[in-house]
Amino acid sequence: MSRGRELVVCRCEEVTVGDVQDAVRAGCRTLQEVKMATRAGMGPCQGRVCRTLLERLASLEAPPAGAAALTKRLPVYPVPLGQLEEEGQP
Amino acid sequence: MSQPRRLTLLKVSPDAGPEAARAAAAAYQDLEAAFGDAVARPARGGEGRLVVVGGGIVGLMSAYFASLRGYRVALVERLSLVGAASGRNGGGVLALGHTLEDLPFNRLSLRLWRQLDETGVRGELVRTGHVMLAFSEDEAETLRSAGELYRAAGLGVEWLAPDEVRRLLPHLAGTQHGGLHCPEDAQAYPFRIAASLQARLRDAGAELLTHTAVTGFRTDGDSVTAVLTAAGEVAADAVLLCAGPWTAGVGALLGLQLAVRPRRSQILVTERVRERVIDPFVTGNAIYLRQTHEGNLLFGGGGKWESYSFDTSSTAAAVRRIATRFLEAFPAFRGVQLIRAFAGTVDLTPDSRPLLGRAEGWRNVCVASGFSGHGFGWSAAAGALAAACVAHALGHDEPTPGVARLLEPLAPCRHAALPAGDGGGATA
Repeated sequence: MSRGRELVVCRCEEVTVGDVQDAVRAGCRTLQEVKMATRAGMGPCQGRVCRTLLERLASLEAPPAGAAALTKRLPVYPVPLGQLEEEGQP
Repeated sequence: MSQPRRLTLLKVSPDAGPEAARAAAAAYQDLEAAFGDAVARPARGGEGRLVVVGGGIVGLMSAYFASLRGYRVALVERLSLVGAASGRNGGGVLALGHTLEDLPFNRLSLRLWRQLDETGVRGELVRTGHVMLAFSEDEAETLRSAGELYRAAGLGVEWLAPDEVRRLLPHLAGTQHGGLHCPEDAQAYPFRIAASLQARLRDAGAELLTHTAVTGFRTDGDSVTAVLTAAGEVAADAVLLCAGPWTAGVGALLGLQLAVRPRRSQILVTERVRERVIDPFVTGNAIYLRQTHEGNLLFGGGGKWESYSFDTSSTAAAVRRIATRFLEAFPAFRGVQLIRAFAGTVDLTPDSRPLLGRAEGWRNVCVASGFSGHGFGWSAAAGALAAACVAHALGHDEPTPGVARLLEPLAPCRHAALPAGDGGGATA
């Protein structure tokens, strides 16, 4: 179990299983709250890699509130700012 | 030909004169005398249980300052703590930009934010300074005269010539016309300060009831005796309503007309940039921006596309326009990837000033809401003042004449007195 705590769940922000467990034990009741407490899912992948793991982990730790999903945000996949630039701006 | 003006967050009126600036300086003295050490040496004498309705940053700060005064605190939040604009904002803790009326409060807030940090309530607070950029000579002129007013009001600001701005912001494009710099302004990380306040409150024995909706109030004459929630009744000696844009709905349960309305505010965040490429908080070209403690570039700004509602979706038009404005100022970051767009709901009032004080008609109900897009920066001062208002209402403390004078224009129900038909509908 102690080794399990060191497993990295969110690679972008280097959040471990233990970090998620601690956040839940400190009172986080939804995955969104876990995200706010640990930054899990806030890196470049925005949860595309870790979302399923996080949802599973949080629901094991804090059923059933933990089952609430993470929000999905634009632009879904990282896009260079230059691609978004409007043309013909003053 | 001058370009359209795109100054951001500059609220000071060009018509304000030196007299108003001197009044702002005096107001700060009054606030500092009363609340300047509200963290380090809080007024005591609080007794009984305060129920805070709303778990945004103002609710958390108010709860903390009330607990420092000696109150037992219960906080009731419908969803998650700092789940709306309190956790989704630019992270600015700024004095520069405010009206002369709001400036003294935000100077106090800066002082209290620092005091919180020094006493271990941490929010990644960094005094990076704040620069308001001019992108035309016209804007430079406006900022220079604003600078004179701010100096007369006691705020340490300096005018930076274009080459000085370039030294401060090496990646800024070359077309700027200088900037107004406030070294005292700071920035912080919303989730961290929230977590820190939460931990302190728990240590102090406060009850934090999240995912608990307020459904009504038990009253006795002009007093509220309990807050009714989906999870049961919470007995109260005093109640503080600070639910941001939701305060109007909660207040209506007590027959209060609280003129706050919601407005969406959208923000973009890029991947981390390893180096510290943008150090100060920056406003200009109709956006605000900063580089976070983790290295992400974060920027946002309002526009015609915003909706006056609780909708927090991100819109393609806003994403493109805000990104474009950012790149106009910082074209060097064209290749940096946008990873997330998000939005919060801010609480606007008709005069853009907060509703802060005891609610008319109720002995033990106070309000702290309507920070009109600046709640995060305001929050430390808002918390100290809200806790004081509770103490005033319960007779545990008395406002100094100076403080009483400053709170008067913020009376929570002031807009209810507007003549009917003047835009205000009869519906609650």
